[in-house]
Amino acid sequence: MSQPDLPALSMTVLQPTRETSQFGGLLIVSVIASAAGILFLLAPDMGWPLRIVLTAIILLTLKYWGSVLILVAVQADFFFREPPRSAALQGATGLLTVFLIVALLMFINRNRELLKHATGRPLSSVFGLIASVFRGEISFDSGKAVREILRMLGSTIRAVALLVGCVFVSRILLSTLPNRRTLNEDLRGWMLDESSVLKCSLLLTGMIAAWVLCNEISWRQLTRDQTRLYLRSVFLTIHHADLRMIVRGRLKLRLRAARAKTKREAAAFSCRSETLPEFRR
Amino acid sequence: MTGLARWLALPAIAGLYLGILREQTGLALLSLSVLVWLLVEWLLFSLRIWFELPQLKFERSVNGRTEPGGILWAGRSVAVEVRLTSSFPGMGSIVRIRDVVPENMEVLDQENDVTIRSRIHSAVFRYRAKVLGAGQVRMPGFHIVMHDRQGFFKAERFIPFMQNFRVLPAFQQSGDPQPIVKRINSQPQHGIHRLQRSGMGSELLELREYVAGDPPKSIAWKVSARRDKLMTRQYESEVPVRLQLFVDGSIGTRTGGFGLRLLDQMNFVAASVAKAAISAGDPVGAMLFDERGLRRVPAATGDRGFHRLLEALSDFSINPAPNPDRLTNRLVETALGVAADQFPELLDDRVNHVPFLLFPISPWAHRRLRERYRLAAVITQLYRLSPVKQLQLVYDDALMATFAQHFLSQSGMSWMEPVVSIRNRGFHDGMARMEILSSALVRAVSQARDNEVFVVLADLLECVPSLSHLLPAVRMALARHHRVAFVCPSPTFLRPTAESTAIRSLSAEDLLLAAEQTRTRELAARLQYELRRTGATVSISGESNAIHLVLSEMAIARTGRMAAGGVR
Repeated sequence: MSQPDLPALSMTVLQPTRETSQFGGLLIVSVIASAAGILFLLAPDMGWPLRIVLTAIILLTLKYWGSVLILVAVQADFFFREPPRSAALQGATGLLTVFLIVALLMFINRNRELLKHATGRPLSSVFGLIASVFRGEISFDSGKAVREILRMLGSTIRAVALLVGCVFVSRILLSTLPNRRTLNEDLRGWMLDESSVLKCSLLLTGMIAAWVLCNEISWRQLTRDQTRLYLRSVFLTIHHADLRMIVRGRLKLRLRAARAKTKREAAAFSCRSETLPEFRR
Repeated sequence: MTGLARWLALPAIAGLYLGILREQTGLALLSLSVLVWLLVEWLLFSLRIWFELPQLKFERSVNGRTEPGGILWAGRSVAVEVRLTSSFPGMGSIVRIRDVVPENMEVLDQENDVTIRSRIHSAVFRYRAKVLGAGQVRMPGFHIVMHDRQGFFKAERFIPFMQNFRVLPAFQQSGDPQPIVKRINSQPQHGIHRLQRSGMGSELLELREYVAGDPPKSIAWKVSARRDKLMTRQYESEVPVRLQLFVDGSIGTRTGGFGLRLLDQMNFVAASVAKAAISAGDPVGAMLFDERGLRRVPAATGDRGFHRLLEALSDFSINPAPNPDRLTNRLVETALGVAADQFPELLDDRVNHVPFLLFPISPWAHRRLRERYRLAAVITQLYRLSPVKQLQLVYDDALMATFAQHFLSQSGMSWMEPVVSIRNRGFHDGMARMEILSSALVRAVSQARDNEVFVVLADLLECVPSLSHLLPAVRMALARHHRVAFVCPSPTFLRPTAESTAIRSLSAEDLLLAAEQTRTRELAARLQYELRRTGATVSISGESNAIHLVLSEMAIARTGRMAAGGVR
């Protein structure tokens, strides 16, 4: 059979999974530097030795935990240093600070695979790689690099858009949600104001409808085998206790029969052996 | 949702709660931003799964052919090309695609595993793989792992794309062995050889006294004149030499990795001698025997006959359902691993529920039981069993072991631990193997014509104590003027010579190899002594020496002599 051609489509030859970006080393250094930078900015009152130890620990866990520990560290810093009801972080400064921190978290998470890949190699091979770069044995593919830069640029623009959206939505939500001081007043206002109740019920209905829609689409994605398996699982869950009792009962009976058979055989053997003549020395 | 996303969500929720409680705007805003970010990533990822994944189409060509079936050769490398296409707007997530290959194929440089990192509409990836052993290669499809860019969410799917190939055994092209006796006076027809029986051939067999009824033209007048009585010329027969192969496929020959099984060695020798015999115009037949019984392949010649024989050997090399064994944790884990590889959608927690279990209390035992429930559900779905059977699989170890072994064997795994537990070799099936081989030999002799060469390819090294059951059949074959050659494959692929038993170094591997060779050598010496006493020839190990031994036996049979020394 002749091989079908796909002439109208632009073909991309995929690279094996183990191959990584040409800018891998640069990105790793950037991740470590930016993470270390933000960690050194936190808790200025803390002593340097302790700060260095904590930074080192967090940097060592970047491969496994990504940005989780950095988020915890920043949150802890906010928790201890930010005064309650402070206006310092409510305006553009607050937005910019949060924007930068979340951007850093995104950057670290995005390059976690690179870190994993780099740490998976033995140290000697890393040194060998660096040496070969200096010796000029590894050629720099400029075409590939340009493609990668364009790709990185596109993904950076998308990430920035996402980031801006997230921070602004959070800001709006925070300003809309009642805080602790205004909670009682807001609730009273909601209850008295009919339009607010209507809005709230509409919002709730919309959320439930969206959830039902998502759920429906999700279930309709199931294959035939998955639906069969699901039905059987549900049936088994409902009748689990009864069926387990039946199965265990049958197994016990079978085991008892097998034991009885073994005993009978052993008894028959002993009968035979009893009739054998005695051993004489 | 991956562990990373869970661990990120946890401090974010806590931070938001504390921020609102303590009225710390910065803390609350940061935490809420992280939560919104997670939510947006989840929405984008779900949309990609819903819209992009069903659009992904695959096409695989093996050696340039895209048909669902075909033929491959053991020991040769194959070129695989995979084309994937996706409709607008293409794949946007990070997608890791792995063409799942069975154990019988060795992929070079792991290039069957690729990752899409940028948005594409079509792509192609190529890799080379080596087929290891004769039998079957079943390429089930593609394992796909989708990630979002941040690594917060992961989805695994399997896209079936079945291609099933028959793998023919490898063979070696052997040149004709040099004749060590005088060439014949007249050139007979291709595939016809001399036989020391009176017949209508062209070579003189003997002179005897004239008997009434002998044709006058056969009277040797000069000799009659010298002896003063009528003498008649007796001519030799001219018959084809048939090669009859006996291939042992018992459990012991099937255990081991593909390409390293004793059966693979025997297939190699069988295919090589069959090729040489058919090139010389001799018909080749086979008797394939194992625990399932005996299968006869009628003698045939020509390329079609050779291919029919190779196909029979290939079908015979496919491992049958393994004998039921004991259930082990490793067996369950391996079966679960293969299920996760080839049927990840059936292990999805949404559809594969595990009922509430209070016992066992121990977390490890509890986890093992849950895994067993999940595996039982997958097996039940694959083999279309009832819910009662599903629960029986959970509580009945023997039943679970049987199904798990069968599942792994069908998935293309070789007969090694944990699919088949390796017992003391040869202890369990020596007597049965001798009985089957003996009956096959007797049957072949009863159906044989003149001048046949019987080549027995069997794992006899472990059956030396039971050899007495085979010897009468061998003696009968030899008494009927057939030639019998034994080829016993060696587990180490080496001939058990004095050099091979020498200890190369003090490493554990070399010491084990030397011990194995010493043991094989002792067994081989006993086997050779027993068989050579009867007049059969023996070769240990399935390598080129064994092929040459069989070919020299055939050369002797073609000359019509009884022994290599020229004894007639």
